[in-house]
Amino acid sequence: MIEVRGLSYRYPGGERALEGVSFAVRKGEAFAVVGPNGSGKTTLLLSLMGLLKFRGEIRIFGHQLNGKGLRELRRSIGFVFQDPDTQLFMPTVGEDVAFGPQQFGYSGDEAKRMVKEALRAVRMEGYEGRFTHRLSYGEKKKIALATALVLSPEILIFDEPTSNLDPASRREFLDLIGGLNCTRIFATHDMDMVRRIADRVLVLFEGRKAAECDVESLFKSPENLRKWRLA
Amino acid sequence: MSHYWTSDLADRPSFFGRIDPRLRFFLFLSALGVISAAGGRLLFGATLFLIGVMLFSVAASAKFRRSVLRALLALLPFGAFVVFLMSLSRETGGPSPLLRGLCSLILIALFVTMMGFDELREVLRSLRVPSIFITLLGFVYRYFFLFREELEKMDMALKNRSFSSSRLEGWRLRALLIGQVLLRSYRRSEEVYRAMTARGYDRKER
Repeated sequence: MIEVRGLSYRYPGGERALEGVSFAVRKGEAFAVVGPNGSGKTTLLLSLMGLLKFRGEIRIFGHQLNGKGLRELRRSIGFVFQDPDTQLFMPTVGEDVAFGPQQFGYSGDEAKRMVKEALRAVRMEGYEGRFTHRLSYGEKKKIALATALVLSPEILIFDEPTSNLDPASRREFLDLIGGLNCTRIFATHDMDMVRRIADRVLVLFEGRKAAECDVESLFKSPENLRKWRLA
Repeated sequence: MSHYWTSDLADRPSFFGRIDPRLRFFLFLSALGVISAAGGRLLFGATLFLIGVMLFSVAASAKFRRSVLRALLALLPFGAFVVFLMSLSRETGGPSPLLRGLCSLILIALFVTMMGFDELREVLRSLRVPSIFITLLGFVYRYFFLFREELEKMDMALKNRSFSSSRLEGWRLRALLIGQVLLRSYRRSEEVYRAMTARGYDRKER
């Protein structure tokens, strides 16, 4: 479903963020990207959305990710940013969730129906009229997920989905992510989440691929986990 | 952290709340036009009239009283800044600038207590104001709180770690803090743009 070959990215200052990363994600799997701070996880996810100018090749559904057709591809890929205040930029929940459908030309009634469904999926029915700035952090996270779910994407990408959540909100959010049927890719430090949800893992270390394996193999080697600063 | 803004201040069951929102908006614009253009006796009359309206509204509802007071308190620093700028101008023009400033303050305080933010956007939509303006207004409203929150947090961190008793040093640090907020707002704008792009935005207004 997703094939990445030789992905490299340098920040505008010339500092290396990613170097020659290659991996593949299969349809329907939960794929975790793990690594210590500054290992390039967020850069990798932003590249998958075509939001950064990278070197290398990314193919999604067999189509090369470049300027042409990028917008249409984004209809099938949802992205949940780490900070919900980045993701939720409209004043009310309803307007925010409806932003995606509006951009893709859905009519007002259709968009309203989609918003309702997306809010139901994250158990936030009736929040349409609420002001975004009045929500708690956990609520904002759920609404951010709804903004990504509203277009029924085939792939969902999460950047640090459980960061800053209290234990109850974290559990609820993990249940939501775990209950989704689409392909899920998430960058995280939360190794418990990896153990619970992920099928396979990509380990990034200093901008390079350190390993790509299934979850069991990752946890079999505590030495490697320590070496990659994951334990 | 607690927030208040037009939607919290707006007192819909009040006397003014029962007037059609479009008419309220039209009255506000008209009053704004009068106080901008009027001079001498007309301006003095307008000031008295506005003070009368404010007193009437304050007497009519306890909630309105609190709302007007809060709005006036929030606007006072802005008013003081305007008066300060006026004092720098060579043309003093007698008491008119001060009256105009006072009128503007009362008018804005009344306006935000009479009209919620969602209502204001509905009015603008019904008046066929281009949607890009309404969207931008929404962005400003959304991020106003966020930057206020960031500023408050940074100010708290500053107080926590600043041990100098010099007032001048305090002002210098606050100026640096404002600079930091501007930098953060720039970074935030880039992130928000990415979030919009990820959701299909392609610089076309829909």
